Amino acid sequence: MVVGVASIQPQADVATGWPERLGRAALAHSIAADAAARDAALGELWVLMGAALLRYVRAHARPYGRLVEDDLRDIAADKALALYQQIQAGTWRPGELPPPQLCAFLSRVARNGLVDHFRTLDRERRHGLRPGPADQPPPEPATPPAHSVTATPDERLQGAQFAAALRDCAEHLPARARRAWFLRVFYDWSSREIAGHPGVGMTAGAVDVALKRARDSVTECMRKKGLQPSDMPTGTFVLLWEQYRSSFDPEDGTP
Amino acid sequence: MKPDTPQPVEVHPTDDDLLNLAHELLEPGASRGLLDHLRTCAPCETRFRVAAQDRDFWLGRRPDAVPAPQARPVLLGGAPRRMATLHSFPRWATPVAAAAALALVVLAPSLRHNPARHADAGWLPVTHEHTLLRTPALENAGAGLDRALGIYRSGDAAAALRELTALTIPPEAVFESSLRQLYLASALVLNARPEDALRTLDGLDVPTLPEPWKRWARWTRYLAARDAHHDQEAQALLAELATASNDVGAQARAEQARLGAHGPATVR
Repeated sequence: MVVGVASIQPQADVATGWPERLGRAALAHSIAADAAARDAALGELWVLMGAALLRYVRAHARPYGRLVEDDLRDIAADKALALYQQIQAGTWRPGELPPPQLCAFLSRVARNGLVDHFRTLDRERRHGLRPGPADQPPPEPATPPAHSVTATPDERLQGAQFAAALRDCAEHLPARARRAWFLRVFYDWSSREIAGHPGVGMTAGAVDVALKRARDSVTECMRKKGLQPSDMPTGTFVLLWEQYRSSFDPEDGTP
Repeated sequence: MKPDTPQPVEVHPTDDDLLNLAHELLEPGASRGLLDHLRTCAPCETRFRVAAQDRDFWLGRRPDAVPAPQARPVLLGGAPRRMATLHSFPRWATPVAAAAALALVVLAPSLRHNPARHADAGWLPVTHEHTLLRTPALENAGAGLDRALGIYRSGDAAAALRELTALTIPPEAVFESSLRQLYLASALVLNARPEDALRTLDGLDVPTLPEPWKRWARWTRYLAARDAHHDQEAQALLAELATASNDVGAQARAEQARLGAHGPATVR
């Protein structure tokens, strides 16, 4: 089996998709006639730029083995914040860059952030503030094994049935509780992180309560269908994401 | 397998494909094909889950309350900071944090020779206290420091000093403890106790601090050394800080310009 691999380097054929969209948002920001349009463009810029930076940070970090997810996000956030401020100040105009150059630039920024992070790690290890490399768990393989990456027909059927059942059970949850449940089940976010999501808008305590009720409800619903919501087969996340992705946007106004 | 048997080709999506899908930037046909693949490819679905999660991560962390642009020009360099600024925090913090950052950069030039407002140059921005939220096991320490920094941010130097002095942070909370020491030193400078500030900074392992606190600690040390009449240390620090291309560098250069206008002897 020949397996296509994700490239560390920015790809020349990424002429459409996020780089183009990012460029358009930057242009919209620079020519926005009113504050609302400017704000909307900035919001889109922030999300796309952050995601792209994190994508490059992850790619550059792969050869070094496992890094803490928080650190990867910190590195991307550091750079995203700096760029965001430069966009606001008008000192960096991503809308003027062709997509390949924009990709190359963000990739370089991400790599520099990673290099700085390693310097800091070295310093902290020298001072005994972090465990040394020998104490770290072994890195996971960067690419999945070529075999067993696809499900068998039986597994596919089981997975589809399970996913459909879970989707139906989640359907009965109130919208905000469902978002909280989704963020916990699929992203493993803490209650505090969930509370901070614009589509949830609860206190951490309220999230805990909502999650408890949601878990009970889903467990009972799945039990009635003769299923246990434990290990989720392949395809479950995709189906649930397809069903509920739009309701995750903060501006959808769903209570 | 015979040598001439065609090899099945399974092309997995690239990171860009997954990012585009997560942000709903693909044409419906392309999106459908990709989703079909993800349903049957466990590693790809895991990668996509990360991409989708990232989108929600950034959605919830738009920096509504960032310091003024001129206060944070670091790009393509500088050590990584913690995620602090990007966690949600009260909207009322926006003008206050921005004002504090602006005060550092804009107001500092006029403060050097005005004893009544001299202390204002010592205020540090407080935009990263949310870092404390990252360590659930140390939530109490985080909440205490958050409260103290809130008082510091309110501009009441005496109350900030009282709160930061009384604050106890467990030793395992290394980073939170460092933050306390930094802002305590700043509060001591603001309360005209530069010698105490220097002693506090002596106990702070500045080189291991992540940015921007590292440079803020060095700026605070400069202010303390200057006010404590440690002229040699102050001048050396100022010269070094002025070479940096960041908020503190700009402030140090402005300070140098003022000192140049009034002669080196005005460093005190």
